[in-house]
Amino acid sequence: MTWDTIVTASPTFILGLPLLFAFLTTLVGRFSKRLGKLLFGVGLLLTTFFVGVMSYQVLTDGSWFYVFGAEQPSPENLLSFFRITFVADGFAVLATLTIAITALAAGIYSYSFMKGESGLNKFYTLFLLTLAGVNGMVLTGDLFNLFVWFEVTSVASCALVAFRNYKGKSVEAGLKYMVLSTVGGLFVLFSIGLLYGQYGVLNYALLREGITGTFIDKLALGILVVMFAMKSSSVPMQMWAPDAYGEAPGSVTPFIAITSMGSLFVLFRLLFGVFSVSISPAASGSILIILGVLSMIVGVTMALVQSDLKRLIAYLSVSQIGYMMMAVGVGLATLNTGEYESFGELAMQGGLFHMINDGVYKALLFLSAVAVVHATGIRSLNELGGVAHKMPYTTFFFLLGALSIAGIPPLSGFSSKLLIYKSVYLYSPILVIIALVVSIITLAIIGKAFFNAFLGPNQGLVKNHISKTMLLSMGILTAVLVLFTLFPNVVVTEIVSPAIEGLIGSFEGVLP
Amino acid sequence: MNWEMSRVVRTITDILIVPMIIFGIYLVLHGHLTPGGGFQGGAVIASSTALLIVSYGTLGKHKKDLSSIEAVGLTLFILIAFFGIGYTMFYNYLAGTGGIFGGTVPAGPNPGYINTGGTVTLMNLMVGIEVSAALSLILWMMSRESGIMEAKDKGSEGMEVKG
Repeated sequence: MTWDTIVTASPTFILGLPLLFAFLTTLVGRFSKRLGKLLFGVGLLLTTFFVGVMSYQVLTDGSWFYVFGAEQPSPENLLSFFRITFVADGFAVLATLTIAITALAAGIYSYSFMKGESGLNKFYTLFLLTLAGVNGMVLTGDLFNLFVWFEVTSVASCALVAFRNYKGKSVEAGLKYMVLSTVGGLFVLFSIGLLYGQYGVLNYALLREGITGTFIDKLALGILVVMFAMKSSSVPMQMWAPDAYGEAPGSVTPFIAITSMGSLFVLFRLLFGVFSVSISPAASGSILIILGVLSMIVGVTMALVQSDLKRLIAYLSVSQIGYMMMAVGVGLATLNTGEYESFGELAMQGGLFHMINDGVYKALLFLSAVAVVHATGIRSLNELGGVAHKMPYTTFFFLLGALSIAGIPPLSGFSSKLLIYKSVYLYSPILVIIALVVSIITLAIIGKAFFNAFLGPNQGLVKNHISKTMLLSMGILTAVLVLFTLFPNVVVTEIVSPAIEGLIGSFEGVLP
Repeated sequence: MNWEMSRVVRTITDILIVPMIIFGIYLVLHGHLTPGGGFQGGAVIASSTALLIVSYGTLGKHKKDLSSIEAVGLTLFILIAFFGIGYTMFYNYLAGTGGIFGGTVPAGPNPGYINTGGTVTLMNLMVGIEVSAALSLILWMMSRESGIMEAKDKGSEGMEVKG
């Protein structure tokens, strides 16, 4: 076994190592809790390492398919596409990078945050299972395999939300999430059945060629769009998100948010990779735009009235999801027309850059807000105040995240939002006006939250100590955010552009 | 209320459990030859646990054992998949090698040779271990939450229905 074999197999490591370490953690944790904890960290680091390996290989040498169970990893003939295939392309790199950064930060944060809870080995197992599920979802090239990982993610992340089962609210949020995810999963299975019944194939590449655009195909696509939009907490299916984000153990809140981002990645992959040939991209793009605008407006208006810090950020994250859906929707609506060249591609760049950006600063916001809640034991903005005196680092991290989510110029949130504004304006100016208004309200809301919680006279609310590992995890996110801020052009050309190529062209003409 | 049933039921349970488990193991081991497989066989084995819980009202204190057995099954499953990584993950490196489960299936109708299938057979076995332990654990937890096993575990006398 050479290094090349391992590099080619890196997508399976990204998926398989979290699974292996999840089960090992349960097994070993029975004998030694410390060893279980250690294995969790090792699993997380190894997964991140292989995400790096895959990214490097894809960005330098181009994308490849990985066929499971075959004698050699690259597809030889048509029959290879009847096996489960994984796609390592630019889009998978963007998605797994976003997931890996957040997972690493949330994992490190969990170490000291979860101290004192019981059943921690189960927590680590669930965390790694969720990681495996999301990675599987974005890497797979097979519709049924997608359903399997969808279910793995749902079950594991529902259990994570309800992990602190001594709190009634956590269990309620977990149950709500569970019911919606199960219904979603069953409908996904139903629409896969609709497609399989007609064409007898499940692979994206084969489906792309096979789908003819019948009424049943449109029905299947409609169900898939609704269900994955539901999982990505888009309005009008956002009702589970604030509960789940608000009641999950603080350290995994950004990780739960990244599972919904994973669903969004999958939605884009399906719309561009599978359905864009046979079903009019203009129509599906318009639906994405409508969902996106709705999410932006409703998310931000709901955030306006929240007094709970975590729920406020949860609603803001719903509204940020809207930006991505709108921008990528514009790209989809103009696909294969002359307009794609002039502004559609720019919109896609903005949307996808906003995704990885949002993954980072949202995690930073959540984690620093959770640090405040952890230190004071108070979640209500009406009672918080003057925390900055005792928690200077956390204040700095929260401020960076807040400025970034509001799109204030030097920060990376501004770069991606500017790309979106510039391109979407050419599609429809009214969308940009809405987006700008939403952005201004976001600034007002996050400004209010910052003033209420951090500024003002010291009221002596800080009781608990914020450990160094928690600061380290926020520091990692800040470092990534600063990198994005300093070199947005590098990110766009090196990571986002290959992602767009992969999104549009990965399954084009791959069949022998 | 302690849920221990009459001696008749308990004796029948004792007798029935043996063929049930054997049938489950048969389903698991013949997964690559006949309808069935790891999940179905595991579920059959776990149904014997249901019988035990209904008739005796207890499994003893085996929750952690079940959890570990489940984890062992899953870990070995993934490891078996990883061992093929020289070719690809999940590659059936045992099939046709002549070793354990490495027999070749002769062409034409045959009674079913169990020494074939390669890693498929092994993986069926691991899934069988995992599912039987996990479903037993689920049944144990559910009966505990629903109160069937409550009285006995707390050591109170309850209304014993002994035959």
